[in-house]
Amino acid sequence: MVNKSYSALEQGFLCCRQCHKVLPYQQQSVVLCPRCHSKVYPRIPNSLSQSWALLISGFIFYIPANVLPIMTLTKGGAASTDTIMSGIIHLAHIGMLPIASIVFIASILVPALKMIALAMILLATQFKWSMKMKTRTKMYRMIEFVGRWSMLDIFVISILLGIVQFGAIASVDIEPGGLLFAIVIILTMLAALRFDSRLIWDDINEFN
Amino acid sequence: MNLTEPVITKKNWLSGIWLLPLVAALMGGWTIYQSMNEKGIDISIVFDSAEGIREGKTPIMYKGVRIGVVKKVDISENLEQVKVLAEIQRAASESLKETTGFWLVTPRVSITEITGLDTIVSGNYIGINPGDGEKRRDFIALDKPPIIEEYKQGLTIDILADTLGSIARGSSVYFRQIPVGEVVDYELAETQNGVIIKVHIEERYAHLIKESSRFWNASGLSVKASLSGFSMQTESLAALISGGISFYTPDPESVDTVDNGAQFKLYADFDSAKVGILVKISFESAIGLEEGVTEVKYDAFKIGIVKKLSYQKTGKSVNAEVMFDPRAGDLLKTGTKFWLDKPKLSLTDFSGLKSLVQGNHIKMQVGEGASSREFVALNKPPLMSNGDQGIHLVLKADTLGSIEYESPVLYKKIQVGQVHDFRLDKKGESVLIDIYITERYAHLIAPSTRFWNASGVQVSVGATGMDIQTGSMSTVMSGGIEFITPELSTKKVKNDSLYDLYTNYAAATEAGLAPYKPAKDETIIQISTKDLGSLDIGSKIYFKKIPVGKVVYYRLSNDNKTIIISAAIQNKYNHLLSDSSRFWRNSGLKIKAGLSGVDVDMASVSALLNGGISFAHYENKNAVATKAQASKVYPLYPDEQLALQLAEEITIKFSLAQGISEGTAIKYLGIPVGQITAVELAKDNKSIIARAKLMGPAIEFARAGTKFWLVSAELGLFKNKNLDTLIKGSYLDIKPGKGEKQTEFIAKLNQPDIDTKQGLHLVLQTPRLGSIKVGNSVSYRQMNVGEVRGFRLSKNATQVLIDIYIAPQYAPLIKNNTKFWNASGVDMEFGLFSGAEVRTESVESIIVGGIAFATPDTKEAVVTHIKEGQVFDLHDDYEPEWLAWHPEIALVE
Repeated sequence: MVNKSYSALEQGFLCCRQCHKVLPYQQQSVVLCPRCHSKVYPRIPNSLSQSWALLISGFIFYIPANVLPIMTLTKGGAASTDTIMSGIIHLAHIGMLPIASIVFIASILVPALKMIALAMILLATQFKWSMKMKTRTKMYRMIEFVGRWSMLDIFVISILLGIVQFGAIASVDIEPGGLLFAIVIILTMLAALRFDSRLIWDDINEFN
Repeated sequence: MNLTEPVITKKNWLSGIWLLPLVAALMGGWTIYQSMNEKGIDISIVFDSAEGIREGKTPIMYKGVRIGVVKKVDISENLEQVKVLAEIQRAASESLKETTGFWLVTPRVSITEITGLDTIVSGNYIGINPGDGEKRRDFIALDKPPIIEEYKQGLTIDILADTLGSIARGSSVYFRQIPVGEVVDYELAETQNGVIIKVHIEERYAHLIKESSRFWNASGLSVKASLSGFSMQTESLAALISGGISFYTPDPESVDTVDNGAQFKLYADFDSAKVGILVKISFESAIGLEEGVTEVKYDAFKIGIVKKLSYQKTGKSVNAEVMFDPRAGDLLKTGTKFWLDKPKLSLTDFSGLKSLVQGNHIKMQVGEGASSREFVALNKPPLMSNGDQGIHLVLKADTLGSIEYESPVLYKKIQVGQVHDFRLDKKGESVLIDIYITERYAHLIAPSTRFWNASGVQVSVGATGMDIQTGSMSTVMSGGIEFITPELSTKKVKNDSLYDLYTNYAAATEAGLAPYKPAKDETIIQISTKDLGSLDIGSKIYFKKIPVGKVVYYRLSNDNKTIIISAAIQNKYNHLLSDSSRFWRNSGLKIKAGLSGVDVDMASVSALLNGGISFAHYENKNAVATKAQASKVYPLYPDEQLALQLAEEITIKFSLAQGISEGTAIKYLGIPVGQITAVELAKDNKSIIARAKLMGPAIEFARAGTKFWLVSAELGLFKNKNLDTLIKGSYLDIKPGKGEKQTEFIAKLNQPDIDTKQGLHLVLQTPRLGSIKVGNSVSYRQMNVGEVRGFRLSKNATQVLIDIYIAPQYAPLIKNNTKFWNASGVDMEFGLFSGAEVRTESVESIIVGGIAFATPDTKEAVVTHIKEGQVFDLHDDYEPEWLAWHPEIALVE
């Protein structure tokens, strides 16, 4: 690769993140898009810092979200309080392995992997690791894509909470873990959103 | 490009967003700390059995609130118990003390209570009862719920009993049969000589318990049986089934209230609790009284029981100590009367029947006066009612007869009073009977009133059998004294007037009683009979089963040979009477049971009770019905058929009466045409005379030449004749004659030979009779065509001659060359290769024997006529070829 790549910024252009209008770059931190009136930044300000903050918050909440019970199912008067993991184990025990694995992937694996992946991207971007930029971008897209599925558990619990209310026969109550888990997902989604993926490519000329 | 320089601000090294992780860390840490803090305390509870306990599910509940959950269930080290590891919420940690109790709550359904029903849905749970003392983490479960918080309200007392009986935890405690508490626990007394029952009384009833309260076991049915009756006592149904405790507090107003833990004794029953009022009643004798059994009843309610009997020092009377129901206190006044109610064998007195079943009891009549605790019993029941202003009369009689206390005094069979006492007069010559006529009927008594003893049954036993005479069934049942008043008077009879009591109605009427005076709408007719039978004054006269009149009077005729009955017929039925009316007796129920069946003949139910007379118009062709004349005396016929000449009475003389009895039917062609009404010895004692009735058209059979013979069952293994007579009884068959009218006949022993002119009679000769018997069948091609009629030796005694009879339609089967053989027995042939071959005539002939015959099919041998009595040889066996013969023979239609 002899050719040096030039980013749009280097060539004096900005792109509106909303309507994708190309604007000339000016040395002003905040520019309004003349077309859609959204703010146009060359790069999201403090992107890495904000992402880190949200991600770390997510990490912190992730622990109690998994340790504390997520919901209580009262069936035939007998209450059983489950954390996410104990719920998965219970599902696996009663022979519903496919569902158990879906819940495991959506509720434990994905958030965890997502946070780790995001952390890696952030680290690589911040400390200019020699991670392939294409890989980083792929990881980032993946994170954005799967992020929403992690809310699966919360959806299920909210639906059950609304429907299953039959007193002693069967009822579902949400426990603190559920709230924390929802916060974890929201924080990671925000973290991913605050990360400006263009930062990945700003270092392209240093490595390639 | 002239660009304005932007203002460049220095970037904060720490963005505000970094507050977020801080908050997150704080929140997360706090929640984790919180949950760690909330994490319960692990305890272990040892159960005998983990039945119904589920790991992670079974909760530990305190007053319905979940304070913990079972984590794990383990077998204890010695494998005999179960160790349940449970987690109790930290908030409840204060409850885990030395005396804390755990127990398993399971649904419990019994007749008195339903508890733990919630566990049916929610599953069992572990109950906890917080205790005091040191902290403790290892517990041993109780095997039953302890007495818990809710019992702290109200009163908890201990009752000491010898045995637990059917009392259980949850058994109710009753006060006046209302549950006021329950048994919460029981345990062996420390001295082990009894059971301590812990009873909890509800707060609102706690004041009912005083130191003087007495408790008794109200469980189940308490039955004390003896010859004089049963003593039965029960509390409510629930107590009956599940057991319970009753108590009584003699003085509810007393101030000696009790505190928790007070001790009481449990008595075995009401009696031994000795609650109630002790009353002394002195009786003339102790007969009929029994300690602990004889009850005092007030209007069917048991209100007391005889506790103790003791002789007075003078020895003249018996003191009965009676324990009265405390509620009966108000009834015990000085005027209250007691007497012993003895069972009376009477069909009409229901209370008597009851005491017959339940034994004697003491009855009481509540009187006025001050409260009293000592009484003298009457030796007889007091008068019927207190306020009634009737009259007391004294009847003088020679003997008491079957009259007793409370025997009714009847007027026209209506009870108007009763006997209330009897005694001997001063000289001891006659009996004085005190009777009481109620106010309502007192006007019926006049100086001319005649009383007679209507009790009982008159029985005369003679050579002809037993003759029972009663007025009517109702009189027999009620007995008592009857009276009539020929002339009512307005003058009131004085109390204690003396009257004579006649022994019976006749005696009363013969003593100058005027004959019956007919009412305006009645006509009196007279009927003569030799025997009054069940007829009585008041017996109804029926026309087509409708009562149209009644017997009002009867007397002996002037020559004393017959009885003249006067009957009053209502005028509206007067037209039914004519000179040709015939009267007969409806003697109540006539049941004839015998081999000829059960024959029930009854006029109507009232006739059944009172007897009666029926009449009908007899259609005599010769006489013209005229209006009945007042002076006419109608004869009374024994029954309807004779009265209306629907039957002819005849006598049949038998030499032997076996199988003949009253009711034996006379049949003509199988249809009953009459029956025997009586069987008696002839005057010469050598024969039997049967009186019989021929009914309906069979009257015509009473002619010379008519023959009677007895038909009874003949039993044989296969030959059963007249089997119906086995069930219906023997009967007389009749063969009408055509001679002059005749009513006396001599019966034949056997059926007259009526077959002589039909069929074919043949004689078979054989050297030996074999198993041939009279009645054996004569068969052709194994079909029955005739029978053996008899056998005899030939004149020179060389042969047996057998008379056989061939039914007329089969007579043509017999030809000159017909072969007869003895078909008795079984013919068996055994061959080495052919096996056994069994040949026989019908099964019948195997056993009873028989004769078979065959006729060859040779046309030339046909003889047109076989003579009566023609003799054939009877072969011992058949030739095989005989069986092959199959001639075509036209049978007679």
